[in-house]
Amino acid sequence: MTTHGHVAHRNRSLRAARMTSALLATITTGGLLLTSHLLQLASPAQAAVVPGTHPVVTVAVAERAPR
Amino acid sequence: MSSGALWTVVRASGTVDLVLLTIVIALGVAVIGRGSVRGTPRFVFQHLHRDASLLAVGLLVAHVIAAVLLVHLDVVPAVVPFTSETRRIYLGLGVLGADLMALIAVTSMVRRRLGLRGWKRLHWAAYVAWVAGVVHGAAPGTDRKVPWIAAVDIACVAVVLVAVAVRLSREPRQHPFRLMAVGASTAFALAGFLLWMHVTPLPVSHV
Repeated sequence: MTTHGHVAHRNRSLRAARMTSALLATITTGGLLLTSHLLQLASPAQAAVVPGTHPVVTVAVAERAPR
Repeated sequence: MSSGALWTVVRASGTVDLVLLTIVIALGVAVIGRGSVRGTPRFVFQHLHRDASLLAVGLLVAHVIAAVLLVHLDVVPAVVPFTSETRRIYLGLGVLGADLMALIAVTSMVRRRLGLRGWKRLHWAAYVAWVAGVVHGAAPGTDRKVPWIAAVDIACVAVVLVAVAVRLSREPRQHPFRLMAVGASTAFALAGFLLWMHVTPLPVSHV
């Protein structure tokens, strides 16, 4: 490859790297939004609890028979 | 910002940050330092490695700020590992990972002053930071019971283990026994992680 060919190859590679970085930033932003949305939809029984608080516990309450 | 929104920011930024860190580590392990890959020069991967690292550090800052605001952490437990009163071990691992990430980011900025050898030695801390981040993110009390979050955690561990295995198997003068040992260690480590996720119970007091 000639010197000119090397420079052209290098420039193409650098442009590709910059475009991939921009794509990664876009995907990260989209991933953040999607993850936030999906985490809000998660079942409270499966979802994380704020440290220091208690997890959601489902308790079955038996119906009281009418007197 | 409400506490519900802050908690969502903490969880989402932590999850996406783990994926980004995994990409950064995998790029560092498997590609960088190995010459060109299928005609793509090495600097392209170095460029990607650096940009993904910067994104990961940015998300980490958002994660830490949101967590500090949410649980009203003091400065000391937010900076010094294993000093928090709530969830000491798992929160401490997250703080340790964040501290090491900050160390790596700062030393990478002053790389020329440190010299290549010193900088490379400090860069090994990235593996410790990643392991601390994985355990912090997949700890009891996190979203690991959500099936797709568990799948993301397992995929991140698998990607890094495979990258390490590929790197080790590329070493010159390989012995078949060594290749088998690399494969077996990779499978063993992944199985160990799955077992840990399965058996560690949620502590009652969330300590």
